[in-house]
Parts: sequence; structure tokens; C-alpha cells
Amino acid sequence: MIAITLIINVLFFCVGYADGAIDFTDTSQWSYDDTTFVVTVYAFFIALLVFIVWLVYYFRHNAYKSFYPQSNYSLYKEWCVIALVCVLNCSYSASYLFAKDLRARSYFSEAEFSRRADVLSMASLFIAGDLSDYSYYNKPFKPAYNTTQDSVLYNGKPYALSSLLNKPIKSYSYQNHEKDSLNERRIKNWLVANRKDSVLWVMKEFEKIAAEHGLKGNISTAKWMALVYQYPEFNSPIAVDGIEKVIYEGYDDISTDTTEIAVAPSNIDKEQDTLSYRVQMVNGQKELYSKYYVPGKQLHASYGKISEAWVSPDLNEESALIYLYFGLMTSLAIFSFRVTSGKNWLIALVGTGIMGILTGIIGIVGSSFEVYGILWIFITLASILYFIAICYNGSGKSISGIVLNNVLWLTPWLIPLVYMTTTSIARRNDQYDYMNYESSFAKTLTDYSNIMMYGNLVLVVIYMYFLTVSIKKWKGIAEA
Amino acid sequence: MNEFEKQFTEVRELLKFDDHALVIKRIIDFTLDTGQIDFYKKTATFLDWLDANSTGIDIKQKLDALLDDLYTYLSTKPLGDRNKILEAIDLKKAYSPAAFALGPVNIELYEGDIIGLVGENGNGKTTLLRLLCGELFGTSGTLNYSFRYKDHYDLRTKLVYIPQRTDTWRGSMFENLVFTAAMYGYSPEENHLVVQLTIARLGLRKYRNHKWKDLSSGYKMRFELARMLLRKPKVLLIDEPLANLDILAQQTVLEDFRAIAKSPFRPLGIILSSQQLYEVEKASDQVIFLKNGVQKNLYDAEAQQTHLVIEFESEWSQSTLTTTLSDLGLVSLQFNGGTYIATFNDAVTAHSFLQLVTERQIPLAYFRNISNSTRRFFVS
Repeated sequence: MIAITLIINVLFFCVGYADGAIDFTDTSQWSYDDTTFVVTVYAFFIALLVFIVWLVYYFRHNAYKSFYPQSNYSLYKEWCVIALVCVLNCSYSASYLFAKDLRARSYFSEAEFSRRADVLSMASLFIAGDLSDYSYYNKPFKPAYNTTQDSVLYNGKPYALSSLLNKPIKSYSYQNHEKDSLNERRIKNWLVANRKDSVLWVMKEFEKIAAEHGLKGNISTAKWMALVYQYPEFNSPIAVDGIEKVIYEGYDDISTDTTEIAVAPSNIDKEQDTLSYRVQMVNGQKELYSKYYVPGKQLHASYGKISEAWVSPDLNEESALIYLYFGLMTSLAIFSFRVTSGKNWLIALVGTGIMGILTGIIGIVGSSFEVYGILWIFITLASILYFIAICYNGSGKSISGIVLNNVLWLTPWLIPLVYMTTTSIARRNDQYDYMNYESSFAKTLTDYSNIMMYGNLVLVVIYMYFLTVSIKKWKGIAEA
Repeated sequence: MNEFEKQFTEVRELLKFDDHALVIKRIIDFTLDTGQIDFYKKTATFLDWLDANSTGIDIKQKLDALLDDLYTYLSTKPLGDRNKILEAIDLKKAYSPAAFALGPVNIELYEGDIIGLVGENGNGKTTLLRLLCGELFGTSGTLNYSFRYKDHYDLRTKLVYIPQRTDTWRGSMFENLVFTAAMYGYSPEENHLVVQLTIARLGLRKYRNHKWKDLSSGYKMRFELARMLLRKPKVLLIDEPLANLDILAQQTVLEDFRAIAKSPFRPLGIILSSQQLYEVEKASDQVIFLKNGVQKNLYDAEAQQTHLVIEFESEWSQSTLTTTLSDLGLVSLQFNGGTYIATFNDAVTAHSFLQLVTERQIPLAYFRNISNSTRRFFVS
């Protein structure tokens, strides 16, 4: 079964790896893609099917229930196998998502990607885009906005609002805020210092990157330089766009009597900027083309995807925890069924559900998570202590068969419960301080919550050994 | 002549009288006694040959040859000891202060012994079996096991309890037995061989690929016995094994119990409960009668039954019979479940009873001397 789940994981990995290929000619970073949803649904149903088939065969023989000879660690070995199967079986979509991000990250090393992102960011200054402060925008083709000033200061020197010194660079999520600011500062300082060679280097690197991906503009680097580099004001009237054909944003497909198409206000400027753009009528539809363009939009979109794969992959620390804990709890549900009985398992499930409802009501009445958390901590500890008492008491099992299910299900959550309850108490105390801040203690607890959850997993694996040894001994106790 | 030689001679006698079925069973027993894979292979090969040649004329010769080989090996093997396995001293079990209580019960079980448990329904037979197998704990008294075990789980692996209603199992019979053999340490080479021999031993060869739902209750019981044989327990506790068996099958199973329990090399103790009094009394070394949880042993040195007790059926009325039998020294005549139970004084023998019956021409449909049977406890 481990082999089967591994093979299925590999298959999903391969699908994810194939699906994660980046189309460097695509201009949209956030295009709608339902592949992930479809794969997730498939993963769910395949996992369910595999579970059912596996359990049908697995439940056929139970050496433990039949009192066949077993070593002290047999049950632990059995649980480890169950846990491995469960985690693997629940991880098909995780394999897909991981592979998808891995594919995006595999194009370059992290250091190389960082270098390219910096180049593309700096080069974006010379590609048409919005200026820094739109409220100060005052293009001659549009009715003037109420402006408070008609220039912007950079290093103490005034520049026109339409100057490159008033234009932000495009950034990527991979670059943090400081890096982004540094890059902008760097390129603008080159402009101010008239470092043409440095600016030319950026443009040449940009061209190199574009050529690697089979992309090209309609101007050479030298032409690009000539069009936009106008020292000392950098207020060139000609815009070099990031794409040949401008896509209308907010296009609402309304035709008037004169077949004039309503366009979004942001493109009116481009339509009227005859130096940089040309309008073409194709089949009665107006199309807008850049006279001068470089493949900035495609590169920004595709490198944006790679950046997301580095910074916020679909499978990250938090989501991996979900898969691991889901696999763990499934394994404990199966294991508890194995070592107790169907009847006890069901009674425990119903009992836990009822306790959940009651503690929830008490928590709501008490208006705090802490009450809820403390109640469940108490229930868990009481179950553990009762089971230990039965193991060492020597008399009959009584209801320990039911309680054992609770011990197996609840004990993995004991430390997280204590942790979360403590965090909640710490935060509540912060509020009582009327300073509206998160104390260092509460912040530390929040910051280390992932580590706590991963550490808890390790603890579960360790304590399960001792618990399974006790369960084996418990089995030998008389029923009544 | 030791126990093995005695049993071997009996088998030779059976072969002389062409009782091949029984001989094959005993050969399988001896084969399993060897613990040697070569003998397993030889016997398994013979069984496969037999399936194809069930009416062959040289069956006897092959059986003879097998017996010779087995004798050569086993005659030099040391015999198993008849050690005490368990002892219960004043063992009691009360489910609650007001409810029925079993005990005090005193039992000593040795390897090779068969103890029968008889009694009316609801008198504690199953409770006693469950106590002895560790499923229940005694309210008072002691229960000692004279073999080593690491913990309670380990103890219960050595005590096989077969309840009246056995659990459902899945897969084929053969697959289940292979699993059991694997769990009990049989190597892969000998696993299938031992399972085949055990299946053949219990007459399940035709049913090895059957599933649980395909078997009658009698064959389900035999499956449990086959599984028990593979588990090599110290004690077998079995509740009503004869309940769903026809009369022939009952006798076969009891004979199997005797052979298994009294194996010269792998003896084990058996405690079984049953309502088939006479069959159990024939097969058992001791019979315990339970009434309202109180124990009475059939073979009790201190309280030997000296009165003659006869169970019989007759068309005559009770008063006529009482008048007639009073001449012989009748102490009491009870009508019990369609039969009469007549108790006579010490001087009367079964022979003198039959003489009187013949003389007075008493119509007798059925007669049994139950002076040494637990049957008499059911009425006393």
C-alpha cells in the first residue's frame, strides 16, 4: 500500500511539474486556472477510493485482537505504517502543488532569480507605466486635476510630474520593501548622476533576459536608450510600452452609432499620445498599438509568477501542517478502531461530539476561547489518567475501551491546546493593559506557533511508542 | 511401552483393519509431532497423491511406509511431560452482589487432560471458561498458571478460548490459516505445508478455499480447531463444541480432542463444556457438574457414588413401576424429561435390575446405568 500511494504521489508530482511550467509569453500573472481545483477534487476521490480498498483488506486480519503473539513494539510498527499510508494518501494534492511551485522555482537558482528580478525592476522605470502620485498628474490631453504642485522633488531638485524621477519601478513579491526601495533609489541616482553606462547595462541585461525566453521588442537597446534617456529632466514625451498591442482595461463592449468603442479612461491618454501609440481599425474595431515596445509585460507577469512560487508557494509551512495533521488524525482514527472495537469507537465518537457541543456552549457563555481550551485540556488529561489507572489497577477494563479512543484522538492536541490557551490568555491581558499592543510574550507565542506544531508532531511519534506498549498490555486485562 | 509406542501400536491395528481415514489422521498427528519440514513434505505429497488416487490399491503400502519413517524418527524423540498447567483454588465470580455467583471452584488441569463441564443452562459453564481464559477476573480465590508468561497479553496468547458463537472472518479459510501460521512463527517454507496438514487433519481439505459464509456451523467449528492447532496453546477452552454437530461428527470431534490432548510429544489441556453428557464423559478424564454455580466432580475420591442409579424409558406408569421395582430395593423413582430415574440401595446391581425387568416383563424402550454419570446430578 505504501508503494501504491508513493506511485500515486509521484504521478501527481509529475502532473504538477508539467502544469507548473511558465509560459513566458503570457502577459497575465493572475489568469484564471481551474486546474488546481480539478486536481484537488481528483486527489480527494482517488484518496477516498484507495482508503476504502486498503481498509477492506487491512481489516480482514487482526492479530492483536485475536491474541496472536506480538512483540512490544509490534503495535507501534503497525501504527507507523498506518500513519505513513495515511499521510501519503492525503498528500496527492500537496505533491501536485509542491511540484507546481518547484517547477516555477527550477528555472533559475534563487540567487540568479534575485539578480534578474532586480534587473527587471530597474528596467521597468523605462517602460511606460503609472506615475508615483496620481493626484499630481496633469497631462495636457486630459482636463487638469486639482493639483497642489506642478513638480516633484528628488534629492532636493524639482522635476516635472511626468519625469522618470516621479515614476515608481515595478517590484516583485520576492523583493521586500527595503530591496524595492534600494533598487529604485539606485536607478534614479544613476539618472541624476548621468551614469548612462549603468543605465545601458540594465537595458542590455533586460534584453538578454528577454532573448533567453524568446521575447523581443521592436527597438534595440540603443534606440530604447535614446528614446527615454533625456538628461537632466528625463521627461521624454515618448513612451516605450511593455507590449505591442495594448489591451483595453474595463472594456465594456458597447458600440455607439459611430462604432466608436467606449474605452477606459486610462487608455484615452495612450490613444491621444500619437508619438508613442497608433490606433488601427481592424474589422470596425479600434486597436491600439505601441510604436515602441519591449517585452516588459510578459517578463513582469512570468517573473511575478516565479516570485510568488518563492515567496508564497501553495504548499508552505502552514499548509503542509494541515496535510500532516490530517494524515495523523486519520491514522489515529484507524488505529483506535483497530485496537478497540467498532462499538467502542462509535460510542467514543458520539461522546466526543457531545462533549464538543457542551464545551462549545460553555465557551460561548463564558465568552472566551480560554474556557473552551481549559475544558478540553481537562478532558484530555482525565482520559489519560483514567487509562493509566486501568492499566495498573489489575481489575477489569470497564469503559477503558471507549476512553482509549479519546486518549488516542485527543492527546496529540494537548500541547497545541495549552499553547493556544496560553496565547489567548496573554493576548487578553494585553488588551487589559489598554495599550493596544501585543506584548513580547504573546508575540513570541504567535511567532513560534508553527515550530510548536512541528515539534508536537515529533512528540506524538515518540510518545506513541510508549502508548502502544501500554495498549498491548491493556489488551490482556480481563473484560469484566 | 511408552505413550508414543502405545499410540503407534493402536494405529498399526487400525491400518490392519483398513481404517484408512483414521490412520491418515494419526499419521498427520505424528507428522506434526516431528516438527521437521521433510516429514511435512512427505505427508503432504501423500495427501496430494491420495486426492488423485483415492481408490488406489497401494494406499495401505504407502501408509505403512509413512508410519515406518515416522516411527524411526519419533521413537528417539523425548516425550513431553505431563505438567500441571493451571490450578484454580476456591475461585469465585459474582457479577454483582445480588446476582448469580459462580463458585467456589477448584480445578487442577494437567497436560494431556480433558475436563468436561456440564450443567443446565445459566449455571456458570461459560463464566468458568471465561474466567480460566482470562476474559473475566475472579471476585475471590486464586487462579495460577504453571507456565511462564511476560504479561497478561502474553498469557492470553497461550490460552485459546473458542466461544459458542465464533467471530466472523474474511477471506478464504486457507488464507486465514496461513496468516495464523505466519503469526505463530512458522517459516515461509513450512507455513503452507503445516496449514495443508492441519486442514487435512480436521477434514477440511475440500473447503480450504471457502469463505466464512460458505461453511456450515460444524465446519466453522472445525476451522476454529484448525486455527487452535496452529496456535499450539497450553490450554484449550472450548464452549459447546458439539452443539451444531451431527452424532457422527460429535464422536469424530471428541476423538480428535483425545488425540490432540494426549499427544505424546505436544500434550495440551482441554476444558470443554457441553450438553452431550455421555459423549463428554466418554472422552473426559474428569467431568465437572455445575448447578447454581456450585461444583460437583464426577470422579471424586471422597464422595464415590455407591447407589445404583438407572435411567430408563417404559410404557408403564410411575405407580406401577414403583410397586414392581420396590421388590428390588428401590429408594426413589423420578420422572424427568420423558425418562425415569430409579435409585436403588447399595446391594442392587445393574445385572439384578435387568433380571427383574426380564422376569416381570417390564417394557423397556431405553436403559442406561448412570451411577457414574453426571446425568444423575441433573435430578438430585
